[in-house]
Amino acid sequence: MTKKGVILFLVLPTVVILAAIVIFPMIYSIVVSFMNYDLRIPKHSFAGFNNFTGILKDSMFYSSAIVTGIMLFVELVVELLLGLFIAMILVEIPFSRKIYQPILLIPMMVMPVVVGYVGRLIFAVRSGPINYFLNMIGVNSLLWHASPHLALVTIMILRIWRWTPFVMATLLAGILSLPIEPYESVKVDGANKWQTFIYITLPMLKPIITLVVIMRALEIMQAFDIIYVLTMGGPGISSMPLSLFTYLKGFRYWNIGQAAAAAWLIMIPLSILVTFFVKLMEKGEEIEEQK
Amino acid sequence: MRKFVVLVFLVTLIAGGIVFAGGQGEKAKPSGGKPFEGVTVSVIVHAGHHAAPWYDEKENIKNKLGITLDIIESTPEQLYSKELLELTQRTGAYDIVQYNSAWIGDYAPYILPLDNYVKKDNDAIGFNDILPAFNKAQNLWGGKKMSITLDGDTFLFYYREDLFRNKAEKLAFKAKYGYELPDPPETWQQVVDLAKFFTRKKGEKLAGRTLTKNFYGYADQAKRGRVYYWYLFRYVPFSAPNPQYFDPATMKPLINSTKAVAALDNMKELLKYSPPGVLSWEWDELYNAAMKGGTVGMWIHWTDEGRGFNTLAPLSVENPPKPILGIAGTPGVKVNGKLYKYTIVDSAWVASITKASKHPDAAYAVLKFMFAPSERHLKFIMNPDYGWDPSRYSTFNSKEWRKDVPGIGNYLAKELEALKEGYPMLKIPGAFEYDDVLDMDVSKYLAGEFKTSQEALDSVAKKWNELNKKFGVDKQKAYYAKMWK
Repeated sequence: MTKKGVILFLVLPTVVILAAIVIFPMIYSIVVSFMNYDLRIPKHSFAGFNNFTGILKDSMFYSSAIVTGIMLFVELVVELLLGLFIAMILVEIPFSRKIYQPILLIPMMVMPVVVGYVGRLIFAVRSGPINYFLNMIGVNSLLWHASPHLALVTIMILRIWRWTPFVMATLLAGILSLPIEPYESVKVDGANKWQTFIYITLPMLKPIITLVVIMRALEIMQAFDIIYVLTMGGPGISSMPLSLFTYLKGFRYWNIGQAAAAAWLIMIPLSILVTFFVKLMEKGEEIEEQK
Repeated sequence: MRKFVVLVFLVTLIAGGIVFAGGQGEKAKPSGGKPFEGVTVSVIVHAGHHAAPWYDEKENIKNKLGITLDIIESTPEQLYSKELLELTQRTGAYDIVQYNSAWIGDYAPYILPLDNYVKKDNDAIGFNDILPAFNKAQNLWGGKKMSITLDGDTFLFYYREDLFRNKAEKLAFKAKYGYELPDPPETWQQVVDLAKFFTRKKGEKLAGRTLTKNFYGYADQAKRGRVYYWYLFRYVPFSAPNPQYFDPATMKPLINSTKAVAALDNMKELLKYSPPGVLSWEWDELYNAAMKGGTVGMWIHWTDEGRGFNTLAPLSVENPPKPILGIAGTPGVKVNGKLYKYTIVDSAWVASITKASKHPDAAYAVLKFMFAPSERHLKFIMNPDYGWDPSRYSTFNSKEWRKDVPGIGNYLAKELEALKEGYPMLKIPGAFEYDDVLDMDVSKYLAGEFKTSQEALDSVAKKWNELNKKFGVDKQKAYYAKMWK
């Protein structure tokens, strides 16, 4: 076999698999997004840009985008701060790591559907333990997921509870893998713990933080299970994110064309966001290399 | 040449044998009294308690019919998507499908009508035994028997009869509203009056005793997803004397009519006398608050409460009276002095044979085995863990059930009475979507996302019109006519 032949022989299976599981579905979804595709209607006619304009004219799309935006911002900020805080505590108290790290990881192991159901019980307005404790300290019961104003907050509390351990574990692994030398140098220079954290740990941790942000952002964009069980996007549409919006279009209303169009519309800001973070990560690495 | 002729003869013989054998595949093969020996019938069912009877009878079906039952469970939320995907692709993955009868408009092209079977065996499956309300609302479509009822689900009105019978409360009600305390209430206006009257705070008196918890006159199951039912309980009677979802002549939605708006206003009004948080209440929250908590005066629910009448918790008062569950048909509306009441028959679970089934005769034999009037069927219905409610005269009139559960007769009689005024849910292609957009806008209105009820229902009407256009107005008109036949 010639060298070219060997190369082709080695690369071809990967290309075929990639084409079958990634490229074909993507192209197919583009095709579907330009069609009036409803499984219940036998004829699937060409729709032009109607699916895209239909989505862009739908006020529910924008309210769902706002909900997703709020979730992205709040969850990322809170999970990063909390995760970093817990990771730093575990670094500072090494003996506690063995005990607390596995315990702290438990929320990650709970199935999201279970989290949703348990959420319904603990945030129950009249019989839930959360309101019971609030009443004990003199605070009136809150409506939680029954309120259009608090439903999203309730969802975010549960999701932050579930995902902070992931952020903590990843950051902890990152911190533990950092080189020891810079810490020794700043110790000699007399830096205190806060200064060490701000000027040494954080900059060196930037690539890990960026990675965590990308992974979390992607997951938040797909958030579904807990919301489906807890509020179904309600009351009204007060807690409906883009993922549920797309699900409704595709698998409740069988408007596969519009669902595909919505998915592509969501892909655009998502790609920009991911590219931005990747660039940020690369930039950080370049600066590190220059140093 | 001779060899060639022999070869052709042999090939023809073998091929003929294969074709003959293939042709015999579906027909009953009596073999030791097992007519379908070796046949596998796949049935997709609602997971959990609905699947239990199928598992229980799996062995018996194998022994009596020779059929191996392949039971595929799916969550109720996933059932529609999963089934429709297989049906539309005609994969033949399922011989029997369990589904919500409201989906018949979407399923009909892929479902085998049962009329020929019924004719052939002189209705051995017992369609004549099924109450007309269920037959009309669930089984028939376009005049054909499309399915057999598994679960005779409907909705009943429940109330605290122990409270309603209290003499002091009766006098106080009459003094305040100028008419006798209605037991049970017959109109939605009476429900509003009663809900307002009975809603009291912890520490106040109820039935002459001190309340240990806040008490609420009325509650709906108002979580987004199924709240549209609770709207329809009002919409249908408020639209009397001739309630319709659409104008049958034009398919113009009637969901935003003046009467429809009044129905939604009634729903919002009653929220004032409901426990906090009802907008997040699903089945279990309402059931628990009403049946286990003793803090709700009136509510509408499926028949679970009726069947579990003897598990009602006492009122949340000091030294409570003996709990008594009141059961009645859902309230109505008076038009020109005449009372119009309707009981929404839930488009609940039915089973059909798919057209793509390779073994329709065997599938029918399974349906007959499971659902024809028999002791076995009665056992399914009597077992509260199975989740199948009565739909047949033979079960409603069962002496065995009455003997087994003393007091159950009251519930059975009340449901039988209520079902005389049975009213179907929407059953046209896309019914699921029509219901869901109604659900969403009702939920949005209750959550304050629409300023007025008219605005909310105009939004529903607009979406229903769009759906009519999507499926074809004339086609939907024809399907809408079919759902009443």
